[in-house]
Amino acid sequence: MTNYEWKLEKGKYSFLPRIIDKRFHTSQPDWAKYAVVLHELVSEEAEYNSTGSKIPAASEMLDKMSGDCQDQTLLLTNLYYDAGLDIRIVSLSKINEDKGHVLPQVGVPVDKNEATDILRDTYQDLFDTRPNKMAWTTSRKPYFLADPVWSDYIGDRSSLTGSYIEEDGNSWDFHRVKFKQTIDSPNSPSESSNQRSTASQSRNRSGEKMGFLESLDCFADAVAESL
Amino acid sequence: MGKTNKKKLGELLDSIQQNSTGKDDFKDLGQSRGHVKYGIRDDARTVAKLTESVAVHKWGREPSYFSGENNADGIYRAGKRISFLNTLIESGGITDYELREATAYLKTHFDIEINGHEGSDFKLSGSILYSYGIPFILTKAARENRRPKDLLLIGIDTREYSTTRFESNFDGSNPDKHEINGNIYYPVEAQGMFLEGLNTGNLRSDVEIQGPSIIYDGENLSEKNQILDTQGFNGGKAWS
Repeated sequence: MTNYEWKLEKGKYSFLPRIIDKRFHTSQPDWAKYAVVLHELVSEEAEYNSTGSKIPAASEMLDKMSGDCQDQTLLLTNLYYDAGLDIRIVSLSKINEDKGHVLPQVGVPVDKNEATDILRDTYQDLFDTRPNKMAWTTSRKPYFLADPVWSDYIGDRSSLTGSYIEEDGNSWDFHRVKFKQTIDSPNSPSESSNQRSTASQSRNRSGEKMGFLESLDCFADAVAESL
Repeated sequence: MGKTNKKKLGELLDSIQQNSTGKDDFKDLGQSRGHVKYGIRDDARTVAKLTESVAVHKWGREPSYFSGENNADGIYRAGKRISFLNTLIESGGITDYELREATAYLKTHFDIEINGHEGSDFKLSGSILYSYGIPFILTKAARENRRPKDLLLIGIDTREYSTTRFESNFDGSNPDKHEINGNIYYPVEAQGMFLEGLNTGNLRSDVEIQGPSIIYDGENLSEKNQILDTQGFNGGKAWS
């Protein structure tokens, strides 16, 4: 199993909030702004290129902005981490093919329904678009799909469905998850630090620590999506 | 997405690249003696660059490792084991955490197998070599003439040099500078010079190897400036 966490250049991009705040303005919480902007950055600016098993560090990826799903996932994960966001990396298999895929999920510090509203408003504010379906998994907190390769926006699973995601009409699930890694940023936002702090304080789980690294052969998160 | 926001993303990318200690910082290394910007991850990057440029690219074959034995004849031994250069000579040597960081980087980027030698074996005694004008640092294991089983870590020191350090680890005759072909190079200058070579793809041609020839597969690579030498240590007698 690849240990992506070891490959992170933690703290190297701790300046991210400052330079994002300088350029992108919204009334939505910082976590949403950073999640949206950084996903847009990687998905828009990085080209897909099959690079094999070697995974460049984020600094190298930033130089060339070209790589496969692992490369782009590690880059986005590193940026998310230093922006103070919690991340989950999921490795899964392609349906009916012996191929794999890796994608990041971004953890949000609020209830999933509230998070979808915030993310949509953030996209509206910053990129003049309003996402429709948003998909997440939940265990101790909601984690939204943030695939820089296949997701047009955070929560977008449309391009993954049928290839890496199975659905039965009522729900969906990753196809044969090989492992997941959860990486909590030490600077992950608390609900109270965001503008849209609500009465859902009791649902704020950002302070919980699941363990520095988690790897399982499979997992059975509840999965859902918001329309 | 509108052009404005697309442009903002481009600007953001530029800003991230500029704010991170990326390749541009290599240019500064030789300019400020005793003060460098790098943390361990950057050191690891430097090591990786060096490894890629010299051990792999220059040799053009599977990496070799330096046995650590008395190698006065300068023969490097080919094998799957790899010579690597590591790290830092800050007092007490490299920490286990730093070691993991550096080795993880190398594993990630070069599919390099690194084994063993946890803990104190990695503490650097600070032997410094100059070849191509670069200060190299031997591990304690190498310094003590014990052959590392799987790994020899040497390194570029990007931290502050001290006269004391040089006096104690160099041959003592010229503790604060090094002479190569009549030119005097100070440690950080030499290092910056090498890194400049890495950046441009051209190592400085005026830095030549003195001391024992380096023979690799019967070919004298010293003459071609293709290999890292060990000149400058113990009067040019390497590792003995």
